[in-house]
Amino acid sequence: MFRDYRDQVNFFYVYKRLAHPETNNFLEPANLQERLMHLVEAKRLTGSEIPWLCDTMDNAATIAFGETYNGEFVIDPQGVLVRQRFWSNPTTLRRDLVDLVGPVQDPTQIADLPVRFRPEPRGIASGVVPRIKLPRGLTPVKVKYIPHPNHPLFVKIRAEVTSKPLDDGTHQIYLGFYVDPIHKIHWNNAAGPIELQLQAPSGLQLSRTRLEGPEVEEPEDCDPRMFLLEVDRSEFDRPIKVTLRYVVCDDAATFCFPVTQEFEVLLQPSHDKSSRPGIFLDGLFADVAKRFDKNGDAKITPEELGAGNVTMYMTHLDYNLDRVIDAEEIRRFNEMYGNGRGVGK
Amino acid sequence: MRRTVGMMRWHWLATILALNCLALGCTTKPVLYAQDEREFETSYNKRFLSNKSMLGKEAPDIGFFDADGNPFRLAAVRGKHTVVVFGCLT
Repeated sequence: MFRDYRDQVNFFYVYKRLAHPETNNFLEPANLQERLMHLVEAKRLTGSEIPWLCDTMDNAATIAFGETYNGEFVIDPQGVLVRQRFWSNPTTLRRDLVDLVGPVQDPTQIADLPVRFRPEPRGIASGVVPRIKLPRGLTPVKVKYIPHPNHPLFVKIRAEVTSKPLDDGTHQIYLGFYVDPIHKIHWNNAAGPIELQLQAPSGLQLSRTRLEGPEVEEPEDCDPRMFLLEVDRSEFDRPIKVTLRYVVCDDAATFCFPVTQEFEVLLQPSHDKSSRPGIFLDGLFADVAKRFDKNGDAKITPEELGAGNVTMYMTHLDYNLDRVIDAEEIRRFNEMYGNGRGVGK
Repeated sequence: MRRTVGMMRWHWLATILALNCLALGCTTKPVLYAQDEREFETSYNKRFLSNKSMLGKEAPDIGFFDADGNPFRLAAVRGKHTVVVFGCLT
């Protein structure tokens, strides 16, 4: 459409906050510079020719345009919104442009477009550190990154707390630490496990305040470091101070150095409208073959999926684009999105 | 009573759709895939249009950044139709 209408119509992709942090290992940017790095990566991966814009870190555009995941809007020359839809739909958009601007000769077909979105492997070990099974009912809470004067925020944190207390009245708090692939770095395990120090504000009790990451045999990896501990409240108005010590190396093997990174975790819902994919996979895709493979041949065809499911399932599971989902593709999907989180069990 | 049952059905459908969406992710692929039009013209859009319709109103004049980090406003490109699509890496 951009190729067909670029002279008559302005086109913009708006890069917004992540819908599902951790998918393909991407992590929510902590500042505008990192979000712009994401934008550049998205543009590269999609091969897009369309101009890209970046939403601000307070997500003003996403909120103002109705909090969509993949919303699509057409604005007329006077600045009035004349089309809006929750999910982008090229077929309908083309029809809109024919109505609003006029038809074009020989419209570009999807087959004419370049490669589809598919991140390439990094060549750094992953899946070598067992993931802990997280409890259900976790709610993401607010986190704050303390900027470091000498290096980027290599490691991102995910903090979540259970709203429902355990039998002893305590709540579980999940702290996950992820090396951010946008910086193309990984953990250096030869230097020892990561160290974590927690300082709770007065009035808040944590079950542990000093933790160490697991010893990992692989000399380097990019798996998350996951910790689950107990806290006596699910909400509190003063932050837990988190200090993380680790040694990081870049994927190009040009540097390795020790880093002390600081965070604050505030036990209040973040309302960031994002989710880790693994939370929802359990039970939804574990039995995908059982649900759809009606003839039991270990392959799922569009006919077996049914009209309402074809696009969504084929888009995400049909890795080799042969319009058939096989066991290997489901295994791969689970490995990418649900490793160690109960998926497939 | 009928209204309550209707609402429950609606919530059930919305929950299933939301879980599917959340589990499957959102990617910056809008022009790169063939899509089944029926899926997109049903529940999500109807709900979106009924709850948050901005049709016929002036588009929000929000500040963006371009790919180089320079400030940018959509109002600066008025005079032609403008298509805006939101997306992310996940």
